[in-house]
Amino acid sequence: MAEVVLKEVCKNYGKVEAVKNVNLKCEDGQFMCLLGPSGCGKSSTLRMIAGLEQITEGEIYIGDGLVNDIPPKDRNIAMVFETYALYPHLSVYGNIAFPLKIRNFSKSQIDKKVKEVAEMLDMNDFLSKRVRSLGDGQKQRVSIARALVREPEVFLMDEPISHLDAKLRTRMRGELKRLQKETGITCVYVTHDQIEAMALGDKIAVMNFGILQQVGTPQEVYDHPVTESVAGFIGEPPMNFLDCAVAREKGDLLLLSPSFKIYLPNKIKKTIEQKGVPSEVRMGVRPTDIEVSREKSEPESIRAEVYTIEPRGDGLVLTVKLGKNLIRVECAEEFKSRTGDTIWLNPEKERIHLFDKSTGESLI
Amino acid sequence: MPGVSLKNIWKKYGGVEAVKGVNFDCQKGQFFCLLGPSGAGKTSILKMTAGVEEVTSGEIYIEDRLVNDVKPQERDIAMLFENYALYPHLTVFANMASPLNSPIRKAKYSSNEIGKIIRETARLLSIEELLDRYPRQLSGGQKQRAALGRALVRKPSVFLLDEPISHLDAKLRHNMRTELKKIHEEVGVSLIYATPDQLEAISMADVIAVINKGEIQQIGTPEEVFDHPANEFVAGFIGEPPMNLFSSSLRKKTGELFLRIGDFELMLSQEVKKKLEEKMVFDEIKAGIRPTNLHVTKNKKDKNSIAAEIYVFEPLGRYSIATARVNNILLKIKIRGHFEATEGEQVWLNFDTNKFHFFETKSGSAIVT
Repeated sequence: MAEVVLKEVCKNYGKVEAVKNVNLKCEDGQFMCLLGPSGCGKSSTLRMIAGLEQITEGEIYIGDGLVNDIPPKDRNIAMVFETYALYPHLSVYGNIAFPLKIRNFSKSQIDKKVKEVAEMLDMNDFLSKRVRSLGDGQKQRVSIARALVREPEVFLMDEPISHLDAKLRTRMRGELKRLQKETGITCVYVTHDQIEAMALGDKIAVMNFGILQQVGTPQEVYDHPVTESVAGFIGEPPMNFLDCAVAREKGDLLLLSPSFKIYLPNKIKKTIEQKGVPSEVRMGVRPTDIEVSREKSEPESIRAEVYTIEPRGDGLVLTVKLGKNLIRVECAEEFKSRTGDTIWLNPEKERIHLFDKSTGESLI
Repeated sequence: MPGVSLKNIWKKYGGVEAVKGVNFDCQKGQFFCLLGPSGAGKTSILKMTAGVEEVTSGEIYIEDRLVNDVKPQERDIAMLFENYALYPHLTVFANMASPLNSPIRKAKYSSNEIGKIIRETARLLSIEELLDRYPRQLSGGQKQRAALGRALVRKPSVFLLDEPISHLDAKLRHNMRTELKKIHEEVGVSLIYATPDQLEAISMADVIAVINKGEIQQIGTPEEVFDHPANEFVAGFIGEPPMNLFSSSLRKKTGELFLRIGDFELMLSQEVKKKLEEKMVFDEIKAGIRPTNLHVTKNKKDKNSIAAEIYVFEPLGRYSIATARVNNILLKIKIRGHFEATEGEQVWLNFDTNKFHFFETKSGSAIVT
């Protein structure tokens, strides 16, 4: 077991700066998810930790040791990729035993360890099968077992389940989390899927354009995103964004747009006033944080027109037209409406996010 | 009038039966979804409807016309695949114009008319600004819209879409779902849409046909297939996380009906009891309950609470998913609002006992849903 620390790590490919000055600490036993869209630098970061890519600048520590100049095989890490990289001509047993064989473990030692791992991953029944006869989920389980059998200090995983179908992905996600908790092995996990990151990570590190945007628990990044890009990336359906002006009315601060007027609650008002009140902001509000009603229920209720209705089985996602903007709202299945209907929106004001229009940084 | 009607359609590839006696009607103007895992036969059905594959047996009608022997180009159908198949050397405008310029239609349209049709369609798809661009200059979603536009300009009476958005990233898929639904509402064309993604089907379709191994499992509205799945397969395929399904047995005791869950016995509601009694009680059954219909508490709520251990806990923002273990049964629970739990923690499960579904152990058919 070991912690992983990145200090001012940069990676350039020629002139392209893929990773820019990343500082990150993954504690011993922690599950750290690197989350971001494709091309954000998350895989490059992982590959530098693994030693598969040279570090352009900065330092990487695994445990207490600086590993910049240590070859991958001596780093005591194990990697799991999207492609399983299994040996097709070997049995499941042979594949799992392989890393031990090349490290000259005795036959009985190998047998003991392989069976232990197989037990843990519930794959005793197919140890003798050829890997080519296995389904995708089972193949990935074999490659995880092969990584696990070496008892590495750190697990590095690069989108290990993103190609599986939806059902299998949800199941494997749960199994991975359980496995990591049982073994307590530090894990750095790369994904572009925010639900996966939320579900798995003790901490999530959100990256974009090579820059680390925010590190926090799933709840922190969800409730308090520090930038508009983090806010928009986390959550499904994504957060709604609306540009509006900030105005004063007597002692109050309010958000103004052609289609709505929202008086800011005291807490938000105070925070903004301390930082200096901007004339324009981008407001963010999650689809779950807007209440809908058929009738105007409050003086500030916002008038909207139903654009589309998407049932979810256990709820509805409405897309509604607010002036020229389309926004999404989640509501109960019982809410009856039809395309073109006028409905009223009441955003939960305490849960409103405000971002600087030019920098995208959170103002509250 | 059905827009498309399939009557006892079979498709064999050599000895393999890919489609086995499929019947359905897609009403005119309906958004009809074929939902099933890969290999279910969805694409074969679309291809036979389009006429690019032969029907082994059975009849296909398009707006009441038997089309088994009608050539694809004369079926008045447009088909759109997952890969867009745009011409890389033509602009979006030229790509969209290509079907109108094809030999079988050439006589019909002047270049003025073509321009008008394309601009109208482009406006509908919000790609007016992209008409001069080449496919390589477009994003995935824009390419898909251009391909959609090219199919739409022909004003086909039937539209066939084969997993058109499954390769797009999550955000874009979300937007395209909304847009496709809107476009369909506006154009009003009969649409058959094949997808393995239950969320796409549930959120867009008027009617869903769930298909597995070449056979239709159930046809119904999204609400019907979600609330009243006809069998275990449909129950497990629709919903995310899927319905919890486990083998169990029923027992009568002091006038009440109890369901075994591991070592526990759960008292069922009078409503369910009555329904089961009407259908005669089966000893061995498959029980199903959706993750939203059971609830986790830290303390025992009542005598129907069942002790469980948190196996995995996944916080997802405004809700979380817990997997709880009762003996060897794993149950997923969708928890709304803020809740925290850690792996290994002891908790209590409380079931909405009137929300159980029951299936026959052998056939998987629904007994009570």
